[in-house]
Amino acid sequence: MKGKRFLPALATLMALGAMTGLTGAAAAQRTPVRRTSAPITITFWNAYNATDNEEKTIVKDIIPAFERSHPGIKVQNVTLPYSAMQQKLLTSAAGGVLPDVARLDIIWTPQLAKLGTLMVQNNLPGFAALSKKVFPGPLSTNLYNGKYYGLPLDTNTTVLFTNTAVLAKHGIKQPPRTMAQFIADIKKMTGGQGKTKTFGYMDGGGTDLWGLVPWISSFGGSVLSPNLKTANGYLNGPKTVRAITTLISLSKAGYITGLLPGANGDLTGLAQGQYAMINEGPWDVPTMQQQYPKVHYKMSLFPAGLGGSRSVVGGEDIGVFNTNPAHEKAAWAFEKFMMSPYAQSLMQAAGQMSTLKNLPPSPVLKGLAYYNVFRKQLNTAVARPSIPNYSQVDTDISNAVTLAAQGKESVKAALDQATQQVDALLASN
Amino acid sequence: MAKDTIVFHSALPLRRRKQRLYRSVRHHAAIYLFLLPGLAFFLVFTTYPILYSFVMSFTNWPIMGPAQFVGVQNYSQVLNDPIVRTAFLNAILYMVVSVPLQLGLGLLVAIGLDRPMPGRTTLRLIYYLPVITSWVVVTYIFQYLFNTDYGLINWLLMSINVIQSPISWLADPNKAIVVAAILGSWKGIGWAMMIFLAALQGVPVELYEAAAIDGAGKWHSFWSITLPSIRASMFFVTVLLVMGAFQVFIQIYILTAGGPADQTQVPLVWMYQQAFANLQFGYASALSWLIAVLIVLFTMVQFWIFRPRSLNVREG
Amino acid sequence: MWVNSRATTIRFLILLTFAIIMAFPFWYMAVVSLEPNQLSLQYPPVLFPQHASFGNYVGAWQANNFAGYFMRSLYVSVVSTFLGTLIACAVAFVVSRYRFFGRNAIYRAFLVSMMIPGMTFLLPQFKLMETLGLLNHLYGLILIYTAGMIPFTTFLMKGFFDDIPLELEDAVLMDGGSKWTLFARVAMPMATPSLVTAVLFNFMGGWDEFTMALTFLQNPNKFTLPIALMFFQGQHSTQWGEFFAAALIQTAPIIIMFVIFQRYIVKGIMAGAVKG
Repeated sequence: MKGKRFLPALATLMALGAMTGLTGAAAAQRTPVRRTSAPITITFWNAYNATDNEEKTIVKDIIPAFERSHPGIKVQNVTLPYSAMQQKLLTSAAGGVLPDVARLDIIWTPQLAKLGTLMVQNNLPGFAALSKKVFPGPLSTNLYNGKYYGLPLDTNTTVLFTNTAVLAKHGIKQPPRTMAQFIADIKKMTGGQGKTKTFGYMDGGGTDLWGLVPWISSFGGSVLSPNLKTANGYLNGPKTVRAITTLISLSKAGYITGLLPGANGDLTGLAQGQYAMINEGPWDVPTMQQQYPKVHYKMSLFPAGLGGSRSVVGGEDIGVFNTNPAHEKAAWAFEKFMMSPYAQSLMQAAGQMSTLKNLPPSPVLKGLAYYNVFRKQLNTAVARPSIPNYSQVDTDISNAVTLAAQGKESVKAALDQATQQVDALLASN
Repeated sequence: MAKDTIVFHSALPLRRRKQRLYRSVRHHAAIYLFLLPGLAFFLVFTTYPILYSFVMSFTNWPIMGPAQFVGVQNYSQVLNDPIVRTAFLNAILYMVVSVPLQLGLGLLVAIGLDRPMPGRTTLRLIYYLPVITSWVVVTYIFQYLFNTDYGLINWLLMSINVIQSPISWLADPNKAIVVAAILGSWKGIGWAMMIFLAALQGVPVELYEAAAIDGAGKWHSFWSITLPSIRASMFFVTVLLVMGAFQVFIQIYILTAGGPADQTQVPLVWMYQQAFANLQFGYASALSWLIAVLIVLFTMVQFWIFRPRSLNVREG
Repeated sequence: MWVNSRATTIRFLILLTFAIIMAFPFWYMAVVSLEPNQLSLQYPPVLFPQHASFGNYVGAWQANNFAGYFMRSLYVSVVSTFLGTLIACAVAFVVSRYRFFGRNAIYRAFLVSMMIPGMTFLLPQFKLMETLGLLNHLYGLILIYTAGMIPFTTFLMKGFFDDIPLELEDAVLMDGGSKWTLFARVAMPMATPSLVTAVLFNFMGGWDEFTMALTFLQNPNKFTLPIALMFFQGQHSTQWGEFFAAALIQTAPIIIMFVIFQRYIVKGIMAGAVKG
């Protein structure tokens, strides 16, 4: 190396790329051309679990049945790893090569709606009827600026799991039903030291809204105003502050684990006796039957506080992307098919809880009685705010609660600050 | 730069001048033929995207629709962001822990496995195994090993009574970064070892023999023969490791995702979250250029440290 | 020199002890992968397989046409490694050995390109691939992997070429050999140990790459192995036994390559090349 000046290399690099850059940019203006000839093939993106029955049911049962009843439409299924699907959706949106229809995590729907990629569904034939058949909490996740951009395809929520043996050891007859009883039981069931320590409760959702919403809502508080326009008076309102204060003081006193990173756990910890209770979804129930068949546990509604028994809504929506009339029509037919009792029952049997309030009894649903408590909880479960910059709002609130949990700020001060940040974000929408 | 290309000596007869010119053209033509495929790939697939992202860092870069020019707004936002400061300090902590570990242990292992020894192939393979295992998978293993409540590390430490109650490895920012750096080092030692092993093959045995005759000890041979002979490789490994430290991603993304409260944030995780969760692509590309400038500065320091004492360049 | 059996024994023991520590996380992975019904990680930790079986390996291989993913990854990695290494060696050779117009600029531009986080390019690269009609083609992936390997490999090989003494090449020059002869007959054979290293690194780079593969491929029957691996990690729960088994299957070709290739990382090759 003769000269030691390194920064000019940056300039050289740019000069070198100038020609390719310009020609490339010019060519990038070209809009992608879509096929229009019949029969139509539509592409369906999802992140179904590829190692159990979810993807198999879609590919082997549901799509063939749809193609039989809709001659002229073919469906190409594309299952993607969940962790990378949002990134792939956004990159494809930038390149203008989105699929026709997709199963979307409920927190992505408003983001994609804001980008203008999703089709408004309010006026589609049959939408009004379908929207009345589904649970209201999951449906609300499709709403952006007063319009619906999809339907809730599957849903889930969390209920309280309690280890029966630990319960019996402390002379407690049944899982707690009220918040006061819950807190008393958490304290009672905590014990042991070091390697044999048992926590009363595992907060599986950490400081994310996924973990916080059941506490906030059951205490009667909420994150945002009902019209989703402000956090002031809600996120920093007295009920929310009380909920978070209770959670944090239990955590600081060593009754609860899971609030800070590096201590996350699932039903395994419940089975192994590391904690007596956990708020969890239905997905690990089959796993428990397989790995810990001898461990007994109970599932019950989240303990009721001033706001009743409230849990958090999870799940996925199904939405149609703006393409061309023929493809949009075919994609909407597929969406409706996915919402039919036939498809919903088959998918529930594969582990995807149905969003239909009334799912007709079906032989495929035998042995799945454990869903009942989740379906009951869904009637009162609360959705996380359905806004385009949800992830940023979630991060701001999570950071505030973390700072309070670390003792760096008081709960009230931390939530006041988060309220300001969230309101600034809401104003920018 | 090209002082050897064309040298005019009017005293020379025309024929010889022509011959020189011809040779020079041929010389350069051959060189550019060697360069052509590499440059073509570089211009199309690397330079164009780099340039594109540079231009877009001065816009709001919406992923759809026309971009709006915003001047240096993204850059001032990045520079005024307290989380960016945390992220760079964490990257420097990561670098301070992981670079010496990989450099030192990688070199020691390479020297140890350079000479014949029973089981040499197996040992080389064991040191190389972490390198070839998927990042995602090994990060999950480390997350489990360092779990507060049921991790193996806490279990071991409590079993031998070093600690009484579990350590929250990943909830404390400094500990979490060190855990990530240990993971990075564990994965990188075999990588450094491979480069050093290859470099050590180039050190002529005669040099050691001559030194031994002169009565030089092993330590002296190491400093005066081994290290100078693999200087270029040392430089390569150091530059790449420093670059890697500033670009640490998966370990932190999976272990803590920047939490608690962005205290373990590192530049790339922050950038990824800004881009693909919050759709702030303009901010993210401005941040990536800041990362690049910092790495360039660090590399300049290394160029100075490893500056050659003699040029190994062929003239003409 | 230093052929001292006691010193060798001590050296062996130190390296072995350290190797055991290094191998531990890998060992743990193997233990979990051999355990049937191992759907989650256990406490207290299990350090030896208790019901060892290859059920998870069979399950992982049969799930989702794993063999197809495997072959596509092999194709993409082998071709891009060959192209990337060869092209970069040519650049490294002239940059290390000759002075010419633009030499420093090219070298530094390559270096700087590695300093900008690749994540920034994902959107522009996607648009570029779309414009060039390379989306959803394995050869598109090959081209972009090749491009990705070039700066790194050039930097690596230039370092090795720099460390090779010039005198060894002079004999060929005296005989009037061309640059190509010098490159193909002298420099490359002499650089065999480093060439092997570069090939191993590049192959691994292609074999392991996930983000670009998932972004640029759209049809499941084009997907590569790292994507298949991520399928074992579900949205809500991970099948740890099969996940780790699949990850270990993924390492197999690189282990085989390593065992074969590391033979060439021994002394004596350089001397042989010069004589030959």
